[in-house]
Amino acid sequence: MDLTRRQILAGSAASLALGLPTRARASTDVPRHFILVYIEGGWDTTVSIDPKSPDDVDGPWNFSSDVGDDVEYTKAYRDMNIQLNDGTRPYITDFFERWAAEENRVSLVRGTWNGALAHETARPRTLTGTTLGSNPDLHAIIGSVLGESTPLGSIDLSSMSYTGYLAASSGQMGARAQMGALIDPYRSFAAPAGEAPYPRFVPGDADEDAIQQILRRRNSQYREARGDGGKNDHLLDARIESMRRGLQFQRESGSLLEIIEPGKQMDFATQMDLATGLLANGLCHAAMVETRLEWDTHVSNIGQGGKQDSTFAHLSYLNELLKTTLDSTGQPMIDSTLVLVTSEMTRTPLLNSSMGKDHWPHCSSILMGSGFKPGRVFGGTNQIAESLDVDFATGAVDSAGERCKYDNFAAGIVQAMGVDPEPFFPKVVPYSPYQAG
Amino acid sequence: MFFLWTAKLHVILDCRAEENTIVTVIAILVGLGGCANSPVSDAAGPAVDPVVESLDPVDRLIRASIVLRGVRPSVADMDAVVADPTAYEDIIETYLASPEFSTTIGDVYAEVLMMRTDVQAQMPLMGTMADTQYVESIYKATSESPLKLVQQIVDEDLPLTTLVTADWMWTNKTLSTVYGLPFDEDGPEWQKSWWADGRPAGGLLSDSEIWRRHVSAGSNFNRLRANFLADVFLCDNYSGRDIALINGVNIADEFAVANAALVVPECVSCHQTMDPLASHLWGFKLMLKGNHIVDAFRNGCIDWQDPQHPSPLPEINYTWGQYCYPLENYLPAHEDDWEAWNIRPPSYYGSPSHDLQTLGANIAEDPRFAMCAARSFTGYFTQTDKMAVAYELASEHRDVFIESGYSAKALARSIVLSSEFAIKFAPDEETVGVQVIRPEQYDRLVYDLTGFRWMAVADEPDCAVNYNDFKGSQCWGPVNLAQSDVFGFRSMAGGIDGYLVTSPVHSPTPTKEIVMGRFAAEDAAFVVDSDLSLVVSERRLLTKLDGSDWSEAMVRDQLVSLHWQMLGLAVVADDESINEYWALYQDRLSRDSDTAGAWKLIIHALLRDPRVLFY
Repeated sequence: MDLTRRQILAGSAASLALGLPTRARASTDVPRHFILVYIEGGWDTTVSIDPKSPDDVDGPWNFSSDVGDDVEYTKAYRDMNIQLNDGTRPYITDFFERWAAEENRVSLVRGTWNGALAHETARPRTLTGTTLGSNPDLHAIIGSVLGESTPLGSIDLSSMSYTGYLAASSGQMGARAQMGALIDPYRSFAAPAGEAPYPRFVPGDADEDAIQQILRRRNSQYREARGDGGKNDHLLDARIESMRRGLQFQRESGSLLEIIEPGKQMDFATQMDLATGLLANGLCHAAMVETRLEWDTHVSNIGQGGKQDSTFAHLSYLNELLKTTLDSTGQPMIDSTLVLVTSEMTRTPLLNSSMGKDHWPHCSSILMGSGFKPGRVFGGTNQIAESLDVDFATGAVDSAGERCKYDNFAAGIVQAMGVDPEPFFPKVVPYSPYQAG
Repeated sequence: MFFLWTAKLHVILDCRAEENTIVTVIAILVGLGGCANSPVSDAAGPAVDPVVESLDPVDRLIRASIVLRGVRPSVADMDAVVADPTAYEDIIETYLASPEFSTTIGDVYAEVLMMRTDVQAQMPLMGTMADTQYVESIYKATSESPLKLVQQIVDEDLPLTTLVTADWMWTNKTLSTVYGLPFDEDGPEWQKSWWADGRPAGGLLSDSEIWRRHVSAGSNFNRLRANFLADVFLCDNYSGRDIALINGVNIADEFAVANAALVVPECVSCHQTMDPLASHLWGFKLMLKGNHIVDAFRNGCIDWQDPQHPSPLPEINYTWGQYCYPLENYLPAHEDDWEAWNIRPPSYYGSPSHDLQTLGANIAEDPRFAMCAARSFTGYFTQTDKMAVAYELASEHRDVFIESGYSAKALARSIVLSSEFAIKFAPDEETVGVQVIRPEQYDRLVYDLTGFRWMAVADEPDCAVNYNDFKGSQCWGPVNLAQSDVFGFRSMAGGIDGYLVTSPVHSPTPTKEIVMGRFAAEDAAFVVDSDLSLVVSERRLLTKLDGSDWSEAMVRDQLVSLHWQMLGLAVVADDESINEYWALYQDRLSRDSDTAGAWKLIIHALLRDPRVLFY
């Protein structure tokens, strides 16, 4: 169901429109932090987390030599059957050996029907749980509710997020880490030749405090003049919230941003470092990162193997980072963080004439960290990776159940974070059989 | 029910206009008793009486000026409407005639067409392009060419249907090299030209750059492109609907898909009209990306296809030579390739159509074109989703548009002169309320006020030395940070990057605050240093500070002037607004005797005022 700002302004969601959504926690042990790892372009889940038979599906077995370590096989890690090849995708094996078998920090959600075949239309469905890119995505929703008192609710390191009507609680690092040049003006981009160098004017803290005082008064006056109990109020309150959050972020994030280089795209690992740092230091409650790989393999689907291997190596790194980083309560981040790894689609069962695979509107995702029942598979797909009906309470494949659609899935993730999904996904049944407790 | 509410509102406002009463408060709720679904009854929380009040003449002019031109009204224009509010309409005419208006409509279509995508890899500087110094040149040529047609149509007040019927296009030297277009070396930078490869002329529908931006991947067979043109020109978006929830159609098999689109009821409902639109576009390469060009050059640009490195659809038998400059992006010989895939032939929602020219003619005659243009303009001008624009309101503007002969100016005029455009409060989602300045507008507004443009060079010093064809580093060149995403802050300030960020954010955000803060600081430094180096008569902002010994009265007089010029706020010298800025001035000087620094601080603050952020 699509949620327009009008709907948000209406009914019980009115407080949400003012940036003050009701925080409804299911229990006190739900995660406090959320990381959305987005795989933009559509990964082929048959390469790793959703194995299929060579009789039905073209997969990595089409490209393996069966010589030495280059052998395709499946292995069960707890309840999860995984497609592996120790020769060409060793990091996938490492990931599941360590984080599924040893640490028991992984579960899978298979078979979320996505309803769209093009990236442009599938992306908002996966990320926002609606068909509209003007609605906020999962990290923005969760951050806005959990991060009322932190400088930012959420921060996007991928430059691919949707913030919609929750933009006042969200921050963006920029496609090439431009935020670094804003927070520290002495790292600004160079002025053109012959012109005075940047920065040309940097107000001190006392200057900025004085300006903020004036602007706060001006905002209040403007709100008095233009406030209307509706849309204007929402925008004017968003201004007040944005100023507060922006200033806090500027003043508290400085040293954390030293790891980024303005003008250069942040690689996957740097995004993970920064996301973990920002979360651990209480700068935000949700972050979104992206792999920076070209996943849209309409030509040469063989490339999926290397990309997934690299991605799982990074996911191991992220888990390690979360395990060894303490949050503001002194708890390892891995105990307070839910990580969702997902993509807007997977790939068609069969290779096309360019040895690639096209778009398949069914998603499978990974849950890592905490806040879910580990070692399990929820939902399922048939022999050609189509989503199957499931029992929403247990996640078991059940022909008498219903299809988990993109809105059910999104509402479920929000619920798993202890956030009431109803204001964001009215009348949508959340799908979160994986929820702990 | 909203339509009824809007209709009543419109009547009331029209009546008020006849009475020449500019600021009137009228409660209309009484007239809607019993309307269970009225916007008011939908709202939660404390009851708020919806009131309909118009902006005062100056604020209305500011809104119109920023919407139409991206700059604030001049002091003379504001003085004129204060003296005579009816001067508004005459001033609007000057705005519509200004070059800034066509630039704005270029922005409208840049957003609609998603053409400004500097975050994507650009074409490589190879072959005949190897002497081009900066990637920015090729980005500008490719992204702006279709928008030049839009701007010409607006400048010359041609029918907007020319967008899909023009038998010409616009090119500069760079683009002419890329595509082998006719170009007069001695002529102006941008020239009218034409596609010289035999493609039918359908304005933007025939534009290689439109279809290079909007690709058709895998076995999509132009359907995504068809959806795009239906959405842009007809507001008929197929992709808003979920695809059928059925298992069993193997979409890996192109022929199975084609067959399902013909016979499976859940598929037929969309594909029976979408596929015939798509079949007009088979002459274009399904995809033409930078890496294709690199591969082609590496393979010697020969008319032979390396079987080890197939082009996206080997059946179509593209050759390397077609991917080298000048690019062959349209091949008339492939126009009928849809036949090989058992896909429906070209037609237009059941009407005959066979090529891009007839497609354009059909779109131009389709009643949905005018309605869609009305929705798109109104949506952009009021920061509303085009499909959320109230039907009745869009219909009014559409009628004016049609009557004018599809004039973009007439359509824009209809919108900014409407009563709805001047509404001060917005108790309802569809009502125009406060708007948030877009990054493109802030860039122009700042330049207009101060002469500052936030240009930078973000290239690494050795970018040219390290350049190693497409895979190596290339030099982007100077970039306007306010209008760029590759190094700048456009999408961070609420704009779109045209590729991954495709919906603008019309809201203040923490990031936008940080961007505006830095922009304002650099701008303030520029204009203060510049103004103080000039005689008073040549200055842009500090026009009241004569001599070097500035009295409190002079400073206050300057602050009053800045409030009017920059904010449209008429205040007197002892107003509280002036007092607080005088206090800021003194406070700064008490810590630092740098008077220029004090003025930089003041300008910096004014550029972040809510009356700059909102309009």
